[in-house]
Amino acid sequence: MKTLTKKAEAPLWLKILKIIGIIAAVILVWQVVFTLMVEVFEIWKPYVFPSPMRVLRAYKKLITNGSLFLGIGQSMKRILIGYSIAVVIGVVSGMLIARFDFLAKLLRPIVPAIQSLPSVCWVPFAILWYGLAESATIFIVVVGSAFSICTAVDSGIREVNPLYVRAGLTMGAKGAELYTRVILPASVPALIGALRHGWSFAWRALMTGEMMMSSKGIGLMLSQAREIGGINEVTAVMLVIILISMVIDKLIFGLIEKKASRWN
Amino acid sequence: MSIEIKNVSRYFSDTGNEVLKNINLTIRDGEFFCLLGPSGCGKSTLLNQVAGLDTPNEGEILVNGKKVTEPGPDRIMIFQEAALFPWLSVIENVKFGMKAAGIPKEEWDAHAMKYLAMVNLASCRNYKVSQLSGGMKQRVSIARALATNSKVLLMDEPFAALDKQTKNLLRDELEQIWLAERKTVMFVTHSVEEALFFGDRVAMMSSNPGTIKSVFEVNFPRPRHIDSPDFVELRHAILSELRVEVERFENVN
Ligand SMILES: Nc1ncnc2c1ncn2[C@@H]1O[C@H](COP(=O)(O)OP(=O)(O)O)[C@@H](O)[C@H]1O
Ligand SMILES: [Mg+2]
Repeated sequence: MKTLTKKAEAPLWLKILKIIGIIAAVILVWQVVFTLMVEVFEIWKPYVFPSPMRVLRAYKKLITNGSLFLGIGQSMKRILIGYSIAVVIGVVSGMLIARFDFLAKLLRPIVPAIQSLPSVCWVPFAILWYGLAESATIFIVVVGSAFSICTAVDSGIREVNPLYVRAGLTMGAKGAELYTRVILPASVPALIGALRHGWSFAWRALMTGEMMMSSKGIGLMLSQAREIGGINEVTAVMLVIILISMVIDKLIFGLIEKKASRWN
Repeated sequence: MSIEIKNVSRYFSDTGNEVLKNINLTIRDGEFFCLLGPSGCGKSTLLNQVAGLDTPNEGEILVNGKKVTEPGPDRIMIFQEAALFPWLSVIENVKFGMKAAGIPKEEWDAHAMKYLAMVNLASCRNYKVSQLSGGMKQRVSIARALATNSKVLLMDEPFAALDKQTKNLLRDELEQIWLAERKTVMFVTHSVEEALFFGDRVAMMSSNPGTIKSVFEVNFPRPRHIDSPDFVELRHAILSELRVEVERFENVN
């Protein structure tokens, strides 16, 4: 049986140790490059290349004046609202397109085309419709991810193994019942993939929106860091952006995908 | 339940391909009927039509005198790939069709266990589908089909994807089950041996377009032994006719 061949997973402490080791190595290399290129040979100016110590100092400043957590909180609030709206729109529209042929004919060519539009292109619309209000940034998040979720949900449902559908049909499931008992459960892995993908689009769109037109938020902190704080603060904020996106993708969506592993 | 296939033709307009041409067959109640033929001759298409998963362009199919228009609880299909739902456990898979079959909910567990026991998998009731081997999967799918109490079993090369040993094991199991339940079975295969092992009658199809070429009565007693003289003789007769068929098909292409 297949279960017997399943590989034993490395213990958690070993994984954590490995991650710490990698981070330490990266910082070390970074410090060496900084020392050589900026301090010893003076090839790069200190305002174009960050140093680990100064980035650390930037964090200390951002934390003590409270702006870091305020910014993270604000961004999280926006993305949660925007992403939730996008999920509802994307999942519902994706299911409708997969279900009704006339919608499919109409929308299947259009949606991916709109999706390929970078979210920054929506900024003029957002400003004209909402001004520089909170809703403008949320609008950018919604349009930045809803279309991608829609496309992925549509294709996930469309690509359900026809064998499952035939098996369901022969066992008497039809109409709505076929949908809820066969088609939807069969497309769960694709749906999770769609949400995960949509999240990363939402996150990018949020940064665009915040950098272009928000008050508060991590995106705005990044613009401000460029204007006032310099390269080290820019680096500090960017690392936070990467970290948040990584933690949510790996921890939350990774866990959900693991939970759904019985599908395979 | 009897199956009457009357003047059935099927062509696919997109390919202009005439897949089935004027098929006429009557399968008796409780008969084990085997459909034999080279691959691509339309066996699956015909079986799908009996199941209600495909519709003939011409002609009609009657099951117990009633015209087939859609899948129904009187017929159940078993596919070459087990087609188990991986999001359900083994026993949940077996219970899947019981709702449409009209079995009272409080009997589902006991009923599922009865058929899991019949295919010797009672101990695997809570396994995930991914924990089963190919042969175990096909067994569960047979249990799942039997558990709907359908009077007609439609089997589309159910053992074709299995290794020889598993195949022989399942073959004996299926024979036992059939002897006990006497369902009407329409069994598609491309193995002459398999057809002669199971069939009360064996129909041979010819391809391009798919027609019924000849129907053989298999009268020897069960359980059948593949090396008994009458088995060998009939196998020879069928094989030589099949060879003619395959060569004709190859010359056409
Ligand atoms: N949906 C379809 N559209 C077009 N051609 C089809 C379709 N389904 C089956 N065919 C064709 O019908 C023929 C018979 O197929 P099938 O019934 O699967 O044969 P068999 O089961 O005997 O191997 C094949 O040539 C196949 O290409
Ligand atoms: Mg076939």
